[in-house]
Amino acid sequence: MASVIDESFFQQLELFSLAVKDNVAGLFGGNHKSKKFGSSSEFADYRDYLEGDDITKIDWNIYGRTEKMYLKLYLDERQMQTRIYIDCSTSMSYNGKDEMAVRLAVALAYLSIKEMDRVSIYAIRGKIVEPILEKIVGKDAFTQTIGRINKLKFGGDAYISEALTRSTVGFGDGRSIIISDFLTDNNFFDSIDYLRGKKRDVLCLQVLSPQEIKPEIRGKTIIRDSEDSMRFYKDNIGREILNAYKKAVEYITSRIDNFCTSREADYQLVTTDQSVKEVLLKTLADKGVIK
Amino acid sequence: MSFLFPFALFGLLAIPALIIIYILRNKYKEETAPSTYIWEMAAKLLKRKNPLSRFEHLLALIVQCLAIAVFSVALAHPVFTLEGQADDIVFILDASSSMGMVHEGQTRYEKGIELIQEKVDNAVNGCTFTLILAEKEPRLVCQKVDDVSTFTMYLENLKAPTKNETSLVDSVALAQNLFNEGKANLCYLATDQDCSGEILSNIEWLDCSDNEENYSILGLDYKVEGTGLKFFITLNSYASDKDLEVKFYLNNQELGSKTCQCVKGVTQTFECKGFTTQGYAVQSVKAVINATDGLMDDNSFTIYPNTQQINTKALIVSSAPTYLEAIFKAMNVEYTVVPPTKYKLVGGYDIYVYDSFKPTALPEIGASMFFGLKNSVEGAGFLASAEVIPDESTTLAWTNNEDSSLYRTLTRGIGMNRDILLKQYVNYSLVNNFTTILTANKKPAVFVGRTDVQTREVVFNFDLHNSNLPLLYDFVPLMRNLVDYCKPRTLLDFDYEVGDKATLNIADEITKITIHRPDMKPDEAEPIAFEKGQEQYQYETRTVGEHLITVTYQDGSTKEINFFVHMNKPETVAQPAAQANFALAITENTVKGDGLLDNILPIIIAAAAFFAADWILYTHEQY
Repeated sequence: MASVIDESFFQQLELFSLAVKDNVAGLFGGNHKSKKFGSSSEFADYRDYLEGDDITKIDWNIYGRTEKMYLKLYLDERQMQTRIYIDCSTSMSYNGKDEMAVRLAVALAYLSIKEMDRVSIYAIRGKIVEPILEKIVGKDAFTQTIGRINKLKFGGDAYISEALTRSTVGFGDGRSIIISDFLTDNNFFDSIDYLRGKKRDVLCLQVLSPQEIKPEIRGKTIIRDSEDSMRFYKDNIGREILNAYKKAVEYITSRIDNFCTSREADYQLVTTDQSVKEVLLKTLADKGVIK
Repeated sequence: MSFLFPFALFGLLAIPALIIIYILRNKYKEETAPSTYIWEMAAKLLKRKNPLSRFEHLLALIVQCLAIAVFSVALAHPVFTLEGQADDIVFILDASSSMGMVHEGQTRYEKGIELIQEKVDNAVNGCTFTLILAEKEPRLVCQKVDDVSTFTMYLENLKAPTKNETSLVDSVALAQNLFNEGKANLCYLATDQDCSGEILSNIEWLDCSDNEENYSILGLDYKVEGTGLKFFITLNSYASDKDLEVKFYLNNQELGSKTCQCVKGVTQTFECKGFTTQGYAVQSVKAVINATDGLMDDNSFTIYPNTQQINTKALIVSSAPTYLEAIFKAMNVEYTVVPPTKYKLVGGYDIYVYDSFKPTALPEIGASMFFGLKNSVEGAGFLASAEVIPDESTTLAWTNNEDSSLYRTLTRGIGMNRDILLKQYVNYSLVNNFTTILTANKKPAVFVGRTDVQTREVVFNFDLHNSNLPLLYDFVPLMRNLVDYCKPRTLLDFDYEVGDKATLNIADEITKITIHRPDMKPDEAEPIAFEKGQEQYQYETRTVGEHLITVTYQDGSTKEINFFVHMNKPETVAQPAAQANFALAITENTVKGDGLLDNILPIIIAAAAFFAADWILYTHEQY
């Protein structure tokens, strides 16, 4: 894969930072105010005691009154953990979707680095999440390791939910970004639920090409699936089918969007004819994902 | 069913070609998409309208094949036969003068054409059309024309009514012949005559009348009794009973008027008394209906008595002039008789009659008339040969040269019902161009022509004493005609019907003749073109009314002669007899023909539109 990010692009990215809806909880502190309860003097809340918690943080006064153990929680400035997942299935290798996915991943990673967050980029292959960059902190480390992403290969299936639920995603420590075309029968909604259950901010970027949104195929055609050669669609493609296709695209995108909204996750459709700059500076900024 | 252009059926070959194109185009092409997920989702969303939709992609092909088939067949122009649905129609169009009446800018004749055209336009395809124009003689304009546009052309090229007397009876008889021969089975009669009663049988009436008043003077005569004058006028009021006031004129001076009670459609002759000539000679008599009607042409009638006086002087050179004297005297010809021994060529005579006498020279002015000349005369234009004395009398034969107007003029009024016999005659050989009236043993016996000096001459190859001719009734009119030839009167008849030809005799002294028609301005006149030596001119009358001939002579003097052209005798005169004959008998040959249905233009248009619409839909669907 060619160099996906150039210097001028990095300069543009400097101007933005990743917006975070919730306060962040980082392990090393950072520029984000996290809802992760820490050890600063500002009291925030109570929660049930769990085995392994620091017993010094148990509020014994409450225990004395209720005989139940609660931990006292304090707000603290924490470092954010940004995890970016790239769907590396075969379908993503068409029509420049892979390139767009990588560019978006790098750009978003960079923005996180700029916020002194820890950044990880993963490839989803089959049912496994493969780390490409992991827990990178600081611009230097980022620039030294980002070149690995150019070796990223696309192919095979990707089971997003199964892969993510098997991986370590952290708890309440930042944002998870899934970059995929989401054109699959496989259940990926569970992954969003799973991440949200881990108190993570979730951003789903659906990358589609213009050829997928408005295909130019006409006439009698057998359309084979890139991920499964035995799977094909056969018909005389005309106006009526194209109208139905258009509705299908609208249905698929709105279904994800609605699901994300219901789970307080962010969703954005990205097309490969858009520039990364346009996606970041306009689309995501307008949506408030980037501030 | 048959096809006018069967080659167009080759267009059907486009169908297999189209099918091949479809087959070639119908192959599935393969594409690879990142995911078929959206396509499968689209398939779930696609509303299949009906089970036939699986054949939807074939529908365009089926429709296009059908369109090509219809288009090809339509171009081949199929003709469907509708058995017994077509008529062989014969139209009879009245071309009488009354059909020239104008009502609201349209003549009855034009109305008749319009009505016929209407019938033709509404006729079933496959009908044939025959048109009989009822003129003076019925004229078969066209027969069994099966093309409407061609028949329309015939109709459009019909000339206006000829103002002749029509012959509807003869026209119907002609239609009957067509019925008998199986060439017609339906007859329409377009006329302004009232056929509303039951006078028609197997004929349908196309009413061209407009029920406008129409009167007509059909005839006029007069009688002078002392100074008293009475008129006999024949009238008809075609549209209604009418009291018609008629004014009478003598020499263009009004004498007064009389009222005649006319019964609708009945031709009546009225005697109108109480007028006086006041001592004037009758030069012209005129009657005018004092009323306005649709056709004014026949509301006046003028007659000119044949009072043309001509002074003819003849010199008879004969030793036995008995017959000649008698006939010349009867004809009021002033004559002088000299015996051959005392003959000396002198001038001053119009006719020089040489009876069995050979003059030494021919007169340079005046006509010559020879009887039984046995020797040739220099410059006479004929040569005498042997004298013939047959054992039995030779019968003269009329040449019956009816094509010659001069012959017709010279034989005018001659009965030709008695044989003219000769006991002795002379054979002549003709050198100049003569018009022979009678022949003896196929040799010219009586002939007229010109001498070498272009004077007129009349030649009998026999002496009147050797013939029974002077004893026959025909002798008088024959001699009258010959004398008229020698010194011609310009006009012999003064009463014509429109379309008649007036014969103008052109005397040698005449240098110019003009005719002023009633439709001309006073200072206009129609010159008659004739060559020197031309003896007659046939002038075809075409305008109703008083005509004036002005003749100019070599000496500069002029002479005016009037004649009147009246409308033809109207058809109503013969109507009572005609009514009985306005019927057509249906015979076994009178059958309907087969109709044709070949109007396939809408089919062609529909097929073309269908094909275009289908193709547009198809391309829109595909691209």
